Amino acid sequence: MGHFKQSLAVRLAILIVLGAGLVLLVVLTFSHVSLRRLFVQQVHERGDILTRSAVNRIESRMGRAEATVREAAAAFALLAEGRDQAQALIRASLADHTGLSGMTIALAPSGAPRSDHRMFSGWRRDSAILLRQDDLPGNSFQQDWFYLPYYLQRPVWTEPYYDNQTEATMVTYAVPILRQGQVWAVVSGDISLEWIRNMLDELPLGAGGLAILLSRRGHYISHPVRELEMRETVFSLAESLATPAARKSMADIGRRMLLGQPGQLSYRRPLDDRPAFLHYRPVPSSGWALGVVIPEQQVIATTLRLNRINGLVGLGGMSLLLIAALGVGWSVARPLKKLATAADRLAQGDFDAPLPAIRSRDEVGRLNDSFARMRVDLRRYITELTATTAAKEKIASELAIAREIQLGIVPKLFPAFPNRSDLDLYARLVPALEVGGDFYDFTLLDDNHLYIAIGDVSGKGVPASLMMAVGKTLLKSVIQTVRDPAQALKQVNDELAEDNDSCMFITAFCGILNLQSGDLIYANAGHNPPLLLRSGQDVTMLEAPPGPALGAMAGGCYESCSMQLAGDDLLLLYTDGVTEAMDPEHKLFGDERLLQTARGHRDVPARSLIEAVDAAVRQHAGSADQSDDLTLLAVRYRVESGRAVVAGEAGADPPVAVLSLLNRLPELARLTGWVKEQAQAFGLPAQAAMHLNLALEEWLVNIISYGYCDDHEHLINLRLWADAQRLRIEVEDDGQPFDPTARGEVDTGAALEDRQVGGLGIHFIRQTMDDFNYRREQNRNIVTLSLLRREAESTGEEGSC
Amino acid sequence: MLLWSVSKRWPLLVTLVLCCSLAVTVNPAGAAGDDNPDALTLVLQWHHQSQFAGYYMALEKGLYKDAGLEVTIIRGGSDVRPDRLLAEGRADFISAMLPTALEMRRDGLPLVLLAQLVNRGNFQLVAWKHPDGSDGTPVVQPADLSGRRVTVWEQDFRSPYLALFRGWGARPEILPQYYSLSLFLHRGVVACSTMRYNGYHTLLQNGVSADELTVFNLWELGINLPEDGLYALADTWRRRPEASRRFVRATLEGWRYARDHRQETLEVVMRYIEQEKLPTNRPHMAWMLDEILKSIFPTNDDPWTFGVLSRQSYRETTQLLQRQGRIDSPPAYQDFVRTEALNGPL
Repeated sequence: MGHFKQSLAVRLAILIVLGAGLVLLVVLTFSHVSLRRLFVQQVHERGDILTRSAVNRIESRMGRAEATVREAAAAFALLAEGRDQAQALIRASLADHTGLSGMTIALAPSGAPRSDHRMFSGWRRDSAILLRQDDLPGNSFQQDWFYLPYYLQRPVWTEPYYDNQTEATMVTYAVPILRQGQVWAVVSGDISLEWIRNMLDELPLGAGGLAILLSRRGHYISHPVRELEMRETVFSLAESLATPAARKSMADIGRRMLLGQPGQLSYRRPLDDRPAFLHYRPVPSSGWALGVVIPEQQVIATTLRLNRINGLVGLGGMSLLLIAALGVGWSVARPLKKLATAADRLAQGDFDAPLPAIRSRDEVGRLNDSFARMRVDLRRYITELTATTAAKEKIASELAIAREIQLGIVPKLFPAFPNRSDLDLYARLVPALEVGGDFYDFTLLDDNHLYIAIGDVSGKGVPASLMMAVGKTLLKSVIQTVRDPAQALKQVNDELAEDNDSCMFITAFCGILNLQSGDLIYANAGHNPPLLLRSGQDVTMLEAPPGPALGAMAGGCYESCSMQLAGDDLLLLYTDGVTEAMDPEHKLFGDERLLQTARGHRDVPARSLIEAVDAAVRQHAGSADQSDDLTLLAVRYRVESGRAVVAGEAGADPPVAVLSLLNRLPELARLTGWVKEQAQAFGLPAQAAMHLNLALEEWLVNIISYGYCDDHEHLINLRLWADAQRLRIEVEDDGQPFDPTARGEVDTGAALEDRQVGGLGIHFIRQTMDDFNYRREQNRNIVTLSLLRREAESTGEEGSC
Repeated sequence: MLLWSVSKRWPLLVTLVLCCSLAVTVNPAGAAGDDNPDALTLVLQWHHQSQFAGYYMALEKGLYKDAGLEVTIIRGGSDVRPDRLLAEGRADFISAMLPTALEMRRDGLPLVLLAQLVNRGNFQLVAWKHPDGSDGTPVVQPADLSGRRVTVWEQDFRSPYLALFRGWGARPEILPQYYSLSLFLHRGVVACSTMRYNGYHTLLQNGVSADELTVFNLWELGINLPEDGLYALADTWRRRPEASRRFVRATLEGWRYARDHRQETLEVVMRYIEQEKLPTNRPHMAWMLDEILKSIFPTNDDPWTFGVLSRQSYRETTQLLQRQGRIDSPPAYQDFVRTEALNGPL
């Protein structure tokens, strides 16, 4: 069966042969049925013809015998009853009709008392005719041949009998001769029935067919089984059958045959219970019945023989059909098989596997052509796909490199400042799958100032990462010179906005932490406000008025804000990758959850906080893909023990002089006057007074020029304390936070154009003032300038520096 | 009683055959000496058939031999005259009907009865129920035969029928009946005589249905003549009583055997039939065996004793024959019947 399922040719052949076999079977069955019907009809016709002809032959012989005997009787009736006449008559009759075996003329015992004879018999022996006279016939008169016609007074055929003398079955026709109503004599003629037997034996009845001749009483005159003849009747034979049904059946058949009517019958033979056909016909003169039995088996055998021939022919045809079907099947299957092999090799990547050479234009040929075309297309497609894949791989590889670079340009070494015990800083950038644009940055600008920044470039991919690199680097370099977050953001914004055709932008937050005072000056370019985790207080969001995102539009203005971090306060910077992290249902992590997480981890190290937030975000995201970079930066500023708080020092005494100025340059004239006034009042040397004036002027110009983002009028307050050692002047403004002390020393050796704006003024202040401090209180910048009160030589010393 | 037609020339032939068979079977030395087994010859009253089954079986099963007898059985027939064979000393025993035997004795043959085998008669008169078609007068009782033609056997078989007609007030036209039933079958007569065990069944075997017939069983109509018996000359009985007695006893034993082994008996009968090429058949012989046994062995209701002729039956028979003038003065029962044959020691 395996082969059957696998081989198209075999399957095709089997199906065809099965189909043809079915047709053959139907045809054979039909032919069997119709042939059988035909043969049965033929059997009936044959039986009818055979019985008719046999009966006719019997009838003709018996009729002739009857005629001869009747003629003899007529002649004898006319003649005198003399013995010579009787003898002559017998001799003449036997000579005339050779069919007669013998003839007898018997005078009735009472019929002719004076006659000279009683009975004359003549019979044939070889070719001679013998005669015998019997004057004392005795019981001959008791025999049927005499007895029957004598009492019936009509001619009669006796029942057939076996004649021991001739050793043959005989039958006698006897004709009475009547005178005055009395039988006077009987003339009888015998005929042998051997010829009937021979005739019936020669009837063409076929195998198993048989002919029987029944006497009027049902005796078998002729039967193929000779022992039955003259001994059995159809009724005695019936009696010997086993079952009552068979006995009745046979007796009924016998009676039917002896009714004197021709007929036919399909029946089961009582002898062997086999189906057969019976044709019977009476022999009218003697009342006999001739029957012809043809077994149905004969018909079936003939039918079967014919059908066997038909079947053999059909089988031969089917064999040829099988060969043809196998041929066709193979012719179809062979190229298909080759094609399948080629397809297998093709599937393994062998595009050069040869296709079978099929020249036919049938379905298989077309399949082959299609297959060839498919191979060409496939090859081309694979070539293209290879190229595309290579390109994609290249891009992917480049993206990976870009990511490496992106991650590489943010400081990743923690602890960042192992030598600084007052600084606990940790940051983490968890990149999304794609290259993103987040960054963070921090660095110590000097021993006392820490720069921190965090940013998020709009968009993703390589452009974002490039933008991030640019923005981050730019911001860092600018902050180092400007030292003012707002200024730095403004410069970076202008820089980025220039030629920003890609319309990308960066949100960023940056600040500078004064590690001495804890003051933090910061500016925000559209970034999420950081969290402030004050020790012992609730977590809050830092107030950070958002300026425009970097690079979006040139000319944007940013506001520096300041606040003071107390000891152990922590500042947490983050990007929207944290708050906008989504779970599988697209629900955002959110500010509130961030706040909660932070609350729970307020007093832990920076690193632990970040890990906690990271873990919370990951837990929230669950199985959802991380869609954006997740960036966190936490910094905690610890107060050094013994650090002086400058503000407290100045708190007690009221100033000896105050001056309030508008943020207008012409107001500087009032300053100059006020300084001259105070110098005189406190006896400042002229040079010192000039230095003080110049220093204040520098600082005020700086405030008026850069301290305000608006054009409104602002008051700048000056307060003066004086004691024996020194003069101390505080300048208070409400401008943007700006810590001039955070700025590095001016590189006075550098080319003029490279120097930072305002740098020289602050440098001058440092050089001339004995102390220069900055603090921010209540959103106000407070710069303190101190000048020791000394003699001229000390001034000289000053000048020599 | 012949049921087959016989050629009119057969007496010649049969005589010829008979002479040959007699020459072979009859011991020319006559009675055997004391040293040798007693040679005995039995002549049957008709051709071999089941009617004589007991004899065959006694011979077949060696019952005769066991009795020290060497028995030869000679068939009967129209060509055989048992009385003559007996008279001439060529036979020792014959089988014959009681009326026949009485008539033989009347004719001077000094027969004695050794055993009465068939005590119930088998004579029948069989008539077409509707001889003139369904519209005519049917034959229901014997009187319906008046004016109609019937055939009746001649001579010694005639008596019971004459008694029947007289007793039942029937006055038919009686034609002679010989060996065949053909005249009846040709409907040449309305009724014919048959033996229950033979002719009646032959009619059935010739295609006649039982319901076409009205059957008068004579023994049921008060006319019961004992039939087959075993006879010997009084002289034989006197000279060889022992052998005779042994023969009778063995014969009765043979009949008993036949009764008890019907199938085997039928085979033996058929063998006799085959030997003689007689035109009869096995079913007919089976029928005959059954019927003859019924008339030999009494059932509980039957008044006779197996093998014994009662004085009453003897008296009735002799009276009937006397009345019909067939015999003048019957022999005394004790002269005619040798009951010692049955009872003496073996």
